[in-house]
Amino acid sequence: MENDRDKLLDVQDLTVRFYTDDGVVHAVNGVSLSLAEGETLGLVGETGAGKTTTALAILGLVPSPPGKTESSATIFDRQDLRLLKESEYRKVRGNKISMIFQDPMTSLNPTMTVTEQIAEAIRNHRNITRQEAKVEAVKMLETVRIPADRAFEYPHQFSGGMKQRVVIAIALACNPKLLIADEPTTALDVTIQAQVLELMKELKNKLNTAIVMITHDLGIVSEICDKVAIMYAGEIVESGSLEQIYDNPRHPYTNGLFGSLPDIEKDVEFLSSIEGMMPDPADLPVGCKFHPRCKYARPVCSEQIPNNNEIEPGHFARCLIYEGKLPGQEVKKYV
Amino acid sequence: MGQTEAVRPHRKKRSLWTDAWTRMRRNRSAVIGMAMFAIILLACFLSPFYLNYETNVIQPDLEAIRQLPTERHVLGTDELGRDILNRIIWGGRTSISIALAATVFSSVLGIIIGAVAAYYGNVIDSVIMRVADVFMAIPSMLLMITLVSVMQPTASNLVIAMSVSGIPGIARIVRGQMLSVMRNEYIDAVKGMGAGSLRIVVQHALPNALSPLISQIVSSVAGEIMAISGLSFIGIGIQAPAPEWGAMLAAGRNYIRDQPYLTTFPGIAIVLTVVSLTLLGDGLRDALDPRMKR
Repeated sequence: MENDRDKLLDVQDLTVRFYTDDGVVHAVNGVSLSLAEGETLGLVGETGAGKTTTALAILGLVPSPPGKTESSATIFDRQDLRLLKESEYRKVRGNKISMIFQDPMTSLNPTMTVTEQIAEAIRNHRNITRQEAKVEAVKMLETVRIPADRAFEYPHQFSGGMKQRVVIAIALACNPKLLIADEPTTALDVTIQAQVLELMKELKNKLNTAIVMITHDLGIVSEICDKVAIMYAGEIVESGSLEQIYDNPRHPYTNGLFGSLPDIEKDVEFLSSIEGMMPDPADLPVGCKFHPRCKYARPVCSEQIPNNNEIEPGHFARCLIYEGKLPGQEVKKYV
Repeated sequence: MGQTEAVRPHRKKRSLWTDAWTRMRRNRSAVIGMAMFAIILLACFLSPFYLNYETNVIQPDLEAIRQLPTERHVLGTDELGRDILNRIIWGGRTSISIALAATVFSSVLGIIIGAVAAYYGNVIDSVIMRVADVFMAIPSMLLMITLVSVMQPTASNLVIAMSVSGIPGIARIVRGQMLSVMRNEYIDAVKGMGAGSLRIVVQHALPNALSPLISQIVSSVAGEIMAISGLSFIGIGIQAPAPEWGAMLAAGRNYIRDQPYLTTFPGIAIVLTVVSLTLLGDGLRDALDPRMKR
């Protein structure tokens, strides 16, 4: 596949732990991600799978203490992020890597006009006057299709979809190489979701920004992503290209996720669901972390930790079935 | 709320402050409080233009001692024949300016200290807040009396003493507000955009933490006026012959049986000022945080 030089982001074995009074919370356990310029990666998983924490760890924003971030490599744009001092990291954040937060209703400062907030993001990284920054900010708002006559209003005068567009404008203000979008459409209703996605697609093509799209919505992933990584309990259980994952999901968890989606062509009485709950990250199961909820689980699953097995070029699944440890078992598609 | 605003045809610049101002104008008691305080402020601070300190305020007139209100002396005269109205006005100037100065100092320092404690947390927070606890454990009147008696009872020392006893309370409120504001997602978002600590605190956290504090600060001016009057009443505040409401009360106390107006009028002045500030403070609270109402 691609060689290391093309990689914009390369994270190896990222681990985030929170040392609390009630024990150690294993939020992210050995996540590896890589992304080329202009590529979009969908990071999919249930609530509490560690998606957001992974994103914050890339930005160096995991609160420490109690959090502790470790990895064997975190290379961004040929720069080792682990070696950066806080002041140097600040120059990366919002400039080369930006993040869109989940809830547009709360991620804007209610006491500043939207233009001021975009201008501030620009002035954090570029040495220009307040006035010039404001001009840039209004241009940026027009890029996300907010008319200039609304530019000097406050966030509470905007609808949810417009706020999210403002948030996107802030994130893109410095023309970042990597955009981390943490469930950018979850708080929006469906029609606005479609608009925001359309906008992101357009901007991605125009600016050639790489995107990490964090979501639990497989529909959004299929719309916008080139690569997919499925997260469960702080691990990536399956990863590959969009086609590989959607046409040929191999991990029981991925299949469970697809099985829980309604299919317009199939006539079923109930949607299948994955029984049980995401394990408590302070008390993860031994062996395969998914085995308590897995239909195919055998005793061996609670003893051995599965490797990240390459099933076909670029398609990985973390399941013992592909190590020949569960003879006679085969994962059924979408069930 | 967002819905109705979205369909409004004309759009004006509507910041938190202009919105609050609109709400405040609709609140009758707040407007009354504001008007009362404005009149008191104007009367007191314009007094040098229509009163002469030497002749109208401190000049004894032994032929007109303890007179009932007359045309010449609208509120009567005191035990040295001085016009009570003039002394109330001049004294108000002293009381209110000392109270305002003390409030400004204690607010500025309290905000800085509280913000530092909340932003840095951990050890810094613990140390600052424990020191604040120690100060808050001492009754503020007692603390002020002690501080003023150690220093000289000059106006600037009074301001210092009153500020010191006001700081811990403000710092505590600011810290609490800051802690809750810092949990908002926009603070994370700003961090994610590469803003530095100072910008996060000054630009983003404080303005959002301040609105509940403003009404608190306005109301605390009323408390400081009570404090300065109290200190003067027991004789360690403003020194004679300069007039001050508390000192006038103390002087008139001896004649309360026969000439109660010597104490009544300065008392009314204190009450009116405190009530106006309290109304204003309550109105500000409702205007700045509409959800708190009822």
